[in-house]
Amino acid sequence: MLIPRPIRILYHIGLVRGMVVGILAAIAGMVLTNIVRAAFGMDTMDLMLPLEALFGSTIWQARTNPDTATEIVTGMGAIFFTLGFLAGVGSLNDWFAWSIGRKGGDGHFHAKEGIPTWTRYFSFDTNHKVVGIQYGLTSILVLMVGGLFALIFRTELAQPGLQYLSNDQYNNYIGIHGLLMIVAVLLGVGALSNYLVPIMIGAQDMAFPRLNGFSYWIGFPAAILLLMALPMGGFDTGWTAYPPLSVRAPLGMQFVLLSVFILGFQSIVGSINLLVTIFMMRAPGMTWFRMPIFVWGVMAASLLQFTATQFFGLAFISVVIQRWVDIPFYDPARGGNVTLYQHIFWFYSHPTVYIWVLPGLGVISEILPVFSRKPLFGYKPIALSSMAIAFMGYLVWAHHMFTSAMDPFLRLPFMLTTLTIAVPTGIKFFNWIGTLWGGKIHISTPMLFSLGAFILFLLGGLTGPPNGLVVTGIHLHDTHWVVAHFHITVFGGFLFSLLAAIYYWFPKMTGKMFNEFLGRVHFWFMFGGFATFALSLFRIGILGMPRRYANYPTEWGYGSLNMVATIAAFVAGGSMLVFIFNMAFSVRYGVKASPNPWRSRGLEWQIASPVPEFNFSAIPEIVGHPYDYGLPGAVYAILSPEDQVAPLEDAYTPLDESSAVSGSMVAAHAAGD
Amino acid sequence: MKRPQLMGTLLILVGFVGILFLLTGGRFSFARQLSGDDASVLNLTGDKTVQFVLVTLGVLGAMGGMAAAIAFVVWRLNRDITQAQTSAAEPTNPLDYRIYGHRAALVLIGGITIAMLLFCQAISMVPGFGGQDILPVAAGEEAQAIDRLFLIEYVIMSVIFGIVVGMFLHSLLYFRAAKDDRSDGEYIHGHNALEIGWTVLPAIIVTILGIYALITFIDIFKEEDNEYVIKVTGQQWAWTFEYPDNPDTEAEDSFFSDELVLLQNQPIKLEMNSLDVIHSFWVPELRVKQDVTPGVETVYRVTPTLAGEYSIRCTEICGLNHSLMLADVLVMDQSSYDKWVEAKLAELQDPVAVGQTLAAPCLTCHSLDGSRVVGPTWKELYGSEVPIEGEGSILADADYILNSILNPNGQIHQGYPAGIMPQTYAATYSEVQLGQLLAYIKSQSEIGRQELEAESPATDEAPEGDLQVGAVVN
Repeated sequence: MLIPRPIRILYHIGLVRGMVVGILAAIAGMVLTNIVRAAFGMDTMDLMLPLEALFGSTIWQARTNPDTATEIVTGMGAIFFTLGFLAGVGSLNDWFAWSIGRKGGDGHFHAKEGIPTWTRYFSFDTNHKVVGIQYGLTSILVLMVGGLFALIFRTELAQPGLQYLSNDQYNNYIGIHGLLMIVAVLLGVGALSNYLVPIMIGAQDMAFPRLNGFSYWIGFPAAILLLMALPMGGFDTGWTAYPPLSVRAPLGMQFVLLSVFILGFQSIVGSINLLVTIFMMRAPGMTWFRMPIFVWGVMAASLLQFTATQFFGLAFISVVIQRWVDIPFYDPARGGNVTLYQHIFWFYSHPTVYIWVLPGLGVISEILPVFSRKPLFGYKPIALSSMAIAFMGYLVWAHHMFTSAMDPFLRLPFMLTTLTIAVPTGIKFFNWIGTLWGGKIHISTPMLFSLGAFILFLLGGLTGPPNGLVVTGIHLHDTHWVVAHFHITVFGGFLFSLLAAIYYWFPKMTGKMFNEFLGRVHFWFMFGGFATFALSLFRIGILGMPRRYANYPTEWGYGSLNMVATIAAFVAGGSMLVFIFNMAFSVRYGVKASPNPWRSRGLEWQIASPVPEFNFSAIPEIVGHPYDYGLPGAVYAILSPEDQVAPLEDAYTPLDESSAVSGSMVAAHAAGD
Repeated sequence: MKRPQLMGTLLILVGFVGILFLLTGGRFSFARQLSGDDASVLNLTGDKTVQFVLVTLGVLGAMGGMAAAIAFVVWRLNRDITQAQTSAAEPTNPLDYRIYGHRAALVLIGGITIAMLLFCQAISMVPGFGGQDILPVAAGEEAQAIDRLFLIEYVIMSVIFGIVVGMFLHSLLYFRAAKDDRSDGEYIHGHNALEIGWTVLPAIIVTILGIYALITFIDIFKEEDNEYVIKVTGQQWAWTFEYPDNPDTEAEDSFFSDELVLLQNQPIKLEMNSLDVIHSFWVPELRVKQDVTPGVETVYRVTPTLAGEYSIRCTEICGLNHSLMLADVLVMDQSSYDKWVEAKLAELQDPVAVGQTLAAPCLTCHSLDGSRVVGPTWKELYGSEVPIEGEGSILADADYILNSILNPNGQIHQGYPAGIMPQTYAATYSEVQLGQLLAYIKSQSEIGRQELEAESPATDEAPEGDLQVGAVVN
């Protein structure tokens, strides 16, 4: 080979290819748009501006409202970047080949001579486990970046007055924090559902593997565009981007709008894939009520994601249209209606909360029975309550608009629908208690995180009705109480569940065991830090601290609790470093894990760790219920003997006994590498 | 059950008490609600030494009480556990667990509740944490009704939290397996009656809550007969209040104010509008919040009952200086209110004074002391040479200033980017008001003050005469 090896390797990393092609495409797109505009006699854009914004000193001075030419040209650049990235990364190769009548690839991974296999994690790949891990790593990365922004402005809030940030920086950071965290959570949902659902339902992969890879990679340029918003002038609207403020916001706004619009494709495409997989590819014998409860949660979330995301995209793209071609959707002077945006926006953005939370609650329901050694109490009610929450999630959006300009009496029906959501949520809690009650509870890190999630989500749920009841809701609306409420809900409903899931399935994904002590350290710091943080915010919120305030007078007297909240936020944020160290260290140096260290009955735990390339050499047959702990002789699934690594009659291989381990590792290597 | 595990659980328990204290934020407003007396219970006033001693004693007493409650729980649990262990050397009859389980759960829930209440009472006396009620003072009729609902919600929340966490902790405490115990729990996969119970019960609770809230809502937002209407205008980043013409007098006496002054016990209707983006009008002490939206007139009804000084806070992010969009609300009794109105009416005769009121929103971006905020300062602006973007410099005369207000992007002051100042003032200021604004800007510079002095005797009738007609704005 004439080409040096490092360059060959770089070329085979899809990410590198995608970035190079994407940037070239962005430049081409901007030049092309400029040429077309010039040809029609319209004004053009100074193409040095993005460079100046990125490398010059104009970062925080780019406050002026951009002219239309700049808007459209940079916007086209962003769209071309996305398309170029997708082409460069290789996600369109097979479809392109088919469209011109050629035979595409077979969709499977083939190791190339001289190219290390780790590159597949940074390239377009169709295997659902690789895609799941890609989602997961990106999610953690985005989570850390978003968290960093939170810590920066939390430091500012610790004392009254302005100390470290300007008003402008503060407004930018809260907006980017919100959006990054939403992206991180959606990616986290993608990670869990992509990795777990096919194995849990006994399938070899997702229904549309190429679409699966595509749906991950379309999120990547979107995340880059989102971060571009800051150097490009920022945006001062918060994540909700309400017009008319977002119509007159600086250039960074449109990067946010386009980024989220593109991200919508990831949600829609990903959820179609999951729905088809769950509907069509369940192993024989797996009836609806024999599905693992996590799959129910994913199904309910995917239904929401599939049907509601369009509204989010619609709301955002309508602002882009107003900015680009001046159709006055949200200009009341010319017949527009400002409140319309809020209706469209919240029609998605309320259900999105359930998109995050339903899979998270599924994880809790999945982990509690394993560590209580008892069947999941009330399987059917829990499964159906997920569907009920998903359905009711559609009917409550206007409770985000209790103080908006909509008719005041429209608040009442939405108050009543909002309150009914307490019922299916309550069902989950009581059934979880039922699961714990009378069990043989073993507490290790995944269980600790599930229990932490239980408590936090309970607090999140109980602080919901004061928001939902119009009368008290109008006092709490847009205060730190609401900030605390949704943070504690998402932490309990999703983040703690995600961490529980990562700890729980880590041995299955990597074949290694994490460090239990560090896991516990992580939990206690995270739980203590976060609970103190959230509860301090409840307190100052109800006393009258409005949301998104960079500055508050000393006389209001919120200083001491804000300081407590900031310190607590640093404790919780710092504990994530322990987590990352634990995971990174254990992947490399961890003790080998047995295939089923938690003695779970789940399908995924019967096969080798790490999971072989195609999960099952033959599709298993489901003959029982997944959570029959304590029922002697109960069988859940019959696997082919070569898949069945954990012995069927005694699934309880102790952690330290590695009799089955060596066999599983051989099998995994044979299949995986 | 081993001792270390018990200690761990107790630590969790203490943690939860702390959490509950934070959640309930110190003292419930029970006492105030029930007695209706503002200075009741723990609102200590007077001698500082006495206050200090009382607070210290209260904190110590409550801590002691809490410690006693926890000690009691520990004692009961220990006893129950020992009994369970001694009486059941064989694999235990699950029924035994349940007997002890129920009793301990009751103790736990009771302990948590007592400890919580004591702790809240104690902490409410520590300045900076609970020196105030859970809610800010209730200054209006609506606020009192809303606080009743808050109280009910808090009680329900605390009870449900206590029950669920009690059962939760009890499960973790009693059903914790030993490390080497590899057996399974009981095979119980559900209970239909329980499922129906915990579906129906919350449904009933939320229905009752919903109906109660509905009644309260309809009650507090109903129209009153003798409403006094004030127009509120929000813009980036200031509030302006326009008081209506008094129909009983001959003269045009509608006037503007940059602070909202309300008469005690007088039902108020605020008609609110925004010049640019969405804002939100909120006075925590009045509890009610309403967005101020461009293009739609929103209505805010309130009856202030408690005289005092409160603050309006914008609660919908509205751009750069969102956190500075504050204004004062003064609730006054009849005599102070009349004095204030009189002073305001007297001000109407002076264009500079009216201009000052009108200029309040401008001053969030333009300083009077020469410092740079968002836009150029007004200090010594009138009559000075202003550097213009791409055009050298220009004399800041009346034409230039009026043009800069009406068409802000026309002549750009060097170093101040275009497009930030609202471009809607041509539609919102009348000619007379522009004259008053100009007079105020003039009054900020030496040259302007001389001009004003020169004008005033000669054109006695001109500004005031016009003012009477033009004060009704758009």
